[in-house]
Amino acid sequence: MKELKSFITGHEELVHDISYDFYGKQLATCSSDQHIKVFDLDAATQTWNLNDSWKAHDSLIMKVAWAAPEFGHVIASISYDRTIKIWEEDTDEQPGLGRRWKRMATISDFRGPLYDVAFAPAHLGLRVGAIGSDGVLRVYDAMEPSDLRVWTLTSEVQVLNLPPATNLQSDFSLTWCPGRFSAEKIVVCALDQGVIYTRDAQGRLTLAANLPEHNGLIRSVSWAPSMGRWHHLLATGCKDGYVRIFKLVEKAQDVEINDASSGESKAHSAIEVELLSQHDDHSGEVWRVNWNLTGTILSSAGDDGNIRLWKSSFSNEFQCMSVISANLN
Amino acid sequence: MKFSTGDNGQDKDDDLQMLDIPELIDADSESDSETDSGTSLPIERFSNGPLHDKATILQFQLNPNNNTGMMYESARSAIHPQEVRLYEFSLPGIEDSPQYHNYLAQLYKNFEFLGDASKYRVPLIGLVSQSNTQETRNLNNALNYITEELSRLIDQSDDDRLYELLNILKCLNAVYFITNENDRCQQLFEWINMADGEPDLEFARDIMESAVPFQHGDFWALIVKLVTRGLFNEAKNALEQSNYTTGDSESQLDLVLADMAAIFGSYNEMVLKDQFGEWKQQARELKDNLTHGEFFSESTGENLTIKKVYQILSIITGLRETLLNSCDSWYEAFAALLSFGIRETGQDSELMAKILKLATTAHPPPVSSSGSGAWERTCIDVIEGNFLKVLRSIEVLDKPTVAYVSRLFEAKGFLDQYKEHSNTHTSNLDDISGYFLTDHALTCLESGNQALVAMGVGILSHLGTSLSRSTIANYLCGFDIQTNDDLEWALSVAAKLELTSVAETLYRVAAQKSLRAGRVLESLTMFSRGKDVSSVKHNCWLVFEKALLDGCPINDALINDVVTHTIEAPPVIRQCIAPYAVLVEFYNQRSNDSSRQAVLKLFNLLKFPHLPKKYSPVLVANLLPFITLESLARLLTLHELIMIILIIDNYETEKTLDAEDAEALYTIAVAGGGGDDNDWRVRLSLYGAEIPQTVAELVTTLRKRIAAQVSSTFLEEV
Repeated sequence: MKELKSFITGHEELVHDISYDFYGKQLATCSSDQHIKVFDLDAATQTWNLNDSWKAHDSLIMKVAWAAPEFGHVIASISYDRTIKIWEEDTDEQPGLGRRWKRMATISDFRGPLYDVAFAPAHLGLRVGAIGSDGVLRVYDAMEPSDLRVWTLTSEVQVLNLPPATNLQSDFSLTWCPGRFSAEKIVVCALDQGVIYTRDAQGRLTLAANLPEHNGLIRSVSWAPSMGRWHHLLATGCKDGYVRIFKLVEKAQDVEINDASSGESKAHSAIEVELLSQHDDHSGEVWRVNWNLTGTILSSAGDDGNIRLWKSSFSNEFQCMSVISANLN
Repeated sequence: MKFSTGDNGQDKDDDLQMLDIPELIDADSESDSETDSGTSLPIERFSNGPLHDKATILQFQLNPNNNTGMMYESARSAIHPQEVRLYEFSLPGIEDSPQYHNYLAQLYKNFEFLGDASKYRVPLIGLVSQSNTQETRNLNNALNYITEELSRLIDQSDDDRLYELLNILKCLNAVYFITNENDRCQQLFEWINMADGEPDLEFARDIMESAVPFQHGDFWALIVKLVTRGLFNEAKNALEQSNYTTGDSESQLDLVLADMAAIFGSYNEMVLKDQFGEWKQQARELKDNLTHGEFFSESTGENLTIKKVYQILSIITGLRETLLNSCDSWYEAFAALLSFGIRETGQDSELMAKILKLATTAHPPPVSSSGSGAWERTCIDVIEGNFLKVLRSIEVLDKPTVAYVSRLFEAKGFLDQYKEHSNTHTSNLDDISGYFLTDHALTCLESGNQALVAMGVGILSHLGTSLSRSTIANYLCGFDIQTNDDLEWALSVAAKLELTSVAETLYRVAAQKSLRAGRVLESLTMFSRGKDVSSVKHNCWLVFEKALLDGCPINDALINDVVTHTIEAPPVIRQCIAPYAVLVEFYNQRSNDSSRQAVLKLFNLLKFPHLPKKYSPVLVANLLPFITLESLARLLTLHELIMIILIIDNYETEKTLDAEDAEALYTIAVAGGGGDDNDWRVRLSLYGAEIPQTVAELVTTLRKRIAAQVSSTFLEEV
């Protein structure tokens, strides 16, 4: 049996998220211990060395995300303390002293704990979106990408009509369409709703499509890189035990869609969504879905303690092609 | 071209069913045999790894730049782990060995040489000789090249799957990628001899090393085997070294055996001269002579020999029943029937199917298409023209190879028949080779290996579709530029495909890397090439800021050379670096005792409308010595003193975000040691003057000093 290479993060409590930078050379981790740690990959030894560790928030940190490399080494973090923080690496500071990552901005418009944060693809500028338990998607732009201190709220979308009850379990996630040759699109998952927004001619984010079929909290969503195909692929991992893969085709004609926040039907220039396949192989909740670099392999992790790899066949059907187990026996 | 639907074959609909994804079986893990109950796939398990139980949840993240990822343990509710580890895992990808990478490089080279496959659409109907064009030869050579490279790879890595692949490619080569019938027979024999080497060496040695091989019980079995496999030189040598002669110069049998040895010996030469017909006629005549009866004697042994000679001559003259009975496998029979029986099949697939049916009826192939019989089933698909099944089988064995082979199939027109079956669910049927090549190219891009990445981009570039162009564009924007060569390569690809915005992105990313490495001018140049004027401006102001805080020009020879016009720089950089240039002039003139000129430079900066307000306090602070110290008194005119007041007023009334930054910068400036003796902080200290510690103090000090100087000047003028 092979042995996995591993390293100790040094976090004192649970890790909630890890995120590679654009080139996979740096890795940021965040934890309940309110700290962010960044590790650098030593190319020669292929080991991860601590770049720096610092207390970044006043509550548990749910997510960290990297901005595109043309904007420098920039991280966004979100926390249950209701803030987004923007951090930039200062290479003049020594590693390991807790001062290498400078806080450039704190955004605190949210009215509840934050669950997910993501940067838009670089061709859309330096743009970050976040969603939390207030059910509102907020998008901020650095009007001057070289100045990370000033972020302007450019979009605010009420994804949920009412925020969820605080005593109930909830989950939120979002991701942008990474393709640089199609109009801006963002998928936001709030509880069991998956909603895709596009930007209209007036620059507003408007509802374009819903992701159907979910019968539980959507735990994770991932938009496949647009390589080798004209249509889009999007995957969700759901509490109902299913990995779902959707095919999205942009339509020239308007189609009628249901607005989750208002419950009304609207005619809109939209995206046709087709559920390509759904798989309940994890025999329990699906916690994470993630496409690979070219969008050819989808990975999913679930309650069976396995990472399953899914690949499309020649006939465009997704099948499990490999199973990696985290169980010891 | 027509395709058979023989009894042993599947029809085209069955062929279309074979579109499932091949299972990626790791040869190492296959033996562990633990399988997933739902999918029957082997489970990759590790001796360590995050312990997963009901209290924890498994999380992971994939590396966006290659085929690795990290998994870790998280939890539904708060627990306090002993230690939090991250575990690195890998996704399946291209085999990581130099030999295999070299094989891929050779396949790619071959593909590049072929160029646009549309130029190589060759006529399919008719005899091979009629389509013996340069294009056909190129395609045939291309497959031949792949098999040669595969053989070379097999020599270096003993992998059963590669052997199996070679068997299939050899069969393909013999059936469809030959330029004439003689070539086909040679290739067929090469194929079967490689796939299932017979006769066994030990068996042959046992016979030939016996006292009189000719009298060995299995001697004729050896000769039959050699002949049915086209090994005529070996058969001739075996016969000549068998001590068959009776010593009687008049022996008819000796003469017959000598004639047969001569026929064996002339096979290769006559076939080479395209004289197979004449060669076969000689064998037929010898066989006819045997039937006259004068050769038969009372000796049972001699009669047995004559019968064996007759059997062999019947085989090589294509007598079907004898030939089928003399072979041990369908492929041996197929090769022998095609070589000695119906040689002129061209690419008549119906005839080929009939021959295959004869062979497989006499010697049924293994029923199972897995295990050791897999290559046999695929070779039958090859002969039956089930090309999608063939591609699928090759894909299971080696995905890159299938990409290039599918391209050859496309060029030969083998895949045209499937296009009519294309629908929304099987749209890949429109461009089967495009699908396989794109899939291979993307796998190369995922590898993170530079040579493979270049290959992947090259394949996509050769495909030349708008989709492949957009794929390259999407990929290049995330390409990890590590060296100047990397950048040059990526830019050259972007230029070739006219991807202007991609080139700009590449420049901007390279600019950030240069900046991180401290190469400021290179970074500014890259930003300007990337049309990112905002970053040029921002970083030029950072240069200015550093010089302002340090009280001297920055320690960057290249930037300072731009300022002194020693080296050229793009206009946008010249424009944006201008404030720094003025600041440098201020420092230089201050040092050269040209205080008046220096002060004027400072005023130029303070009056500059685009100067960020946060710099005003430190700039104004540089005027303190000229206002405070007696030695420098009267250097400023009344008008200039009033201008300073206006600047201060303006600064105070515009309480913007800059105020906080201005304060921070001023604090840093005060804490800094300063530059040379002319630095404002050094001068004030030298003369015992107090340095204002905050912007507010600075403003107050300035107002007081200026008021005093204005009063003094006014009084003097009055």
